[in-house]
Amino acid sequence: MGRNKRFLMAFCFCLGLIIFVSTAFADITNKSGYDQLKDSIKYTFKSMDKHLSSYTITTSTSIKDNGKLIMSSEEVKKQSRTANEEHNTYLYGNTQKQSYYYYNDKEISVSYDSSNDTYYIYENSGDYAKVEIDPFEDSLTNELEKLFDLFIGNLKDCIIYEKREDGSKKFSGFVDEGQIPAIINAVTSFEFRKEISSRTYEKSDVKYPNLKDDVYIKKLRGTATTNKNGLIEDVAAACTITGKDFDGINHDLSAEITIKVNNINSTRVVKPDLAGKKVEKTNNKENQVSNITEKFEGMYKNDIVIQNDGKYEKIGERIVELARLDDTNFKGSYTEEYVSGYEDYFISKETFDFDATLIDSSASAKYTYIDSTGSEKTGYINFDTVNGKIFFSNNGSRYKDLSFDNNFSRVFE
Amino acid sequence: MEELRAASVNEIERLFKKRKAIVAIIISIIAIILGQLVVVGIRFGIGSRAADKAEFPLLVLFIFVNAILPLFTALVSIDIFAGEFSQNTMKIAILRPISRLKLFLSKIVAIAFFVFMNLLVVMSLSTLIGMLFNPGNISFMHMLKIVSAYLISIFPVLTVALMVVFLANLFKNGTAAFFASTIVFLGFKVLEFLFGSYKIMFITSMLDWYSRWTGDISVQIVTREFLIMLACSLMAFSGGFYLFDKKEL
Repeated sequence: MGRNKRFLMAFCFCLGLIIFVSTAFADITNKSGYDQLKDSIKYTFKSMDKHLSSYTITTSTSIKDNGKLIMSSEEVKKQSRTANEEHNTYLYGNTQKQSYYYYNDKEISVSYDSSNDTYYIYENSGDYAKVEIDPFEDSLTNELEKLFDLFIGNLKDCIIYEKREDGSKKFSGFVDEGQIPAIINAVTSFEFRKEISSRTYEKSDVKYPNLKDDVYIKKLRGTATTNKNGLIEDVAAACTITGKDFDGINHDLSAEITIKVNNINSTRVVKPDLAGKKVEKTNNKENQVSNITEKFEGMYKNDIVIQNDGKYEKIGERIVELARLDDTNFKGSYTEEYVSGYEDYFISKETFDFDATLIDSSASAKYTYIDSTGSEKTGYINFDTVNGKIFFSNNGSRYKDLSFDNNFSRVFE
Repeated sequence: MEELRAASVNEIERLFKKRKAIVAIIISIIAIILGQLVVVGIRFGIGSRAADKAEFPLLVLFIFVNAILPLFTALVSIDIFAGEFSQNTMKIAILRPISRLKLFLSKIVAIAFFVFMNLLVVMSLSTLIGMLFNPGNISFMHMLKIVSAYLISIFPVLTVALMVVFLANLFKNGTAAFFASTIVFLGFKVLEFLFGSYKIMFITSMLDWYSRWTGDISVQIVTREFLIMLACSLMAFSGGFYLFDKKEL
């Protein structure tokens, strides 16, 4: 090999190396708009949970079908260190309006039902914990973030940003139909179709169209502004998805959303003044676990059913009787009875008495009994406090060709 | 120059006389047909458009340029170098009255020609099939976009090919070279996924370089990626040639 040639090769190699290192360095130190936006989102969530004493988030959305309004909403959430409240209004079609109000602090929770114009008040325990909203605290979210990065691929490059003099930033992105990779289009439009097909039956005068085919994303655009600390203050995004319904009519569904974060550290959450309003105090006693031994005294049955010649036939039943002893104890009996003609199935019929004790303050009890072989066994009873049924387990079926479940229904006289 | 041209034509002829290049093109065609079946399946199965006339060739290109083409380019590149050593035909080539640099270059030209032909075949076919079986319409602008996307893809694929050539000269054995290329390729793909913010360092992240040229072109990103490709090509070429030149018979 000639000396010149060797020098030339070495020179080429070094030149390549220098270009590679300097370009890679420039790229890595220069964060893309997409990465900066992600950083801002993470910082905003973190601040809301950890640093800000109070803030207000106002979210408005609207969904239109070929320009006709299907729904719109306005949600105002206020959060301070000691209380939070929400005012939400939804409009479906042109007429159906729904509004919700919710307030929560350490003493009370208030919720308003617009259908009967009533405020419901719940007593709280006396300590108030702010609800954490930062999803990035969870390691799963960070894995999902990586997958999302991979999923959107080079759409990341569509996000551009400008830095203003005061340090605030403005991000913007615009994606047209041809730019969206087919895979994203397919997945998104499929999910979207599933989502709206469940809403086509809503009872409002303007319904979601039921899109059947040729569904795709027409365009996406979004802007976001951060303040000089990097906290997101303003987000606006719009998306148009188009497709044909069952009659072949083309629909352009456009969704718009704007989010504003304001009154940072100066939001005041005021307890609602309920003087002269219709108020109902509720406590959660209805669903609370109490008086179980009293409520569940009685007889419960569970049918044993087999399939015979393609028909179901009842061949017997299992019966549990419960009697109250005191607040936490039951006395009870369990029997199995067969319908005459099916004795063969009940060779090892089981019948026993038991004592059951409630477990702590839960809606279940543990019982012990002596089985037919003379050994001691334990079983559990769960009380369905909503429907007044019980779930009685005693080691399942002991019959090889019978199976029964453990749901026992009350026998009302 | 005349020598180089003649040598290149010779290399290309030899390349296409081998079965590999033909097999590559046949497999590309099968991939297109499968792709179209999937798209039709999605359309009738879940009612999503998935890809219209203008998009289908680009969808095919995405899959093709990220997996199928690098694989065959690697096979062909290794065959053109390591294959010659193992079959002992390199002696004949080297004893021809042509400088080693020109011989090396002619082989690179042959690889580039193969990549170009393969892209051309896939482009024509996918456009044709896409037009027949997909909705939407296709304008002259769309056509221009498709042609430029396919042509632009030569750059990253050729960079990968040069790196494979370097490996082929490093390992005289074709199997070892192919194994090493595959490991590097997959390794890069994994690293690219794990260290998203450093992905510019991995040449595999640029295989779908054409996608940066659609929509709002970010001059910064395109320039940087071009420079990285240039740098990798320079290093791989000089390294590869150094090894090729050093080889004793």
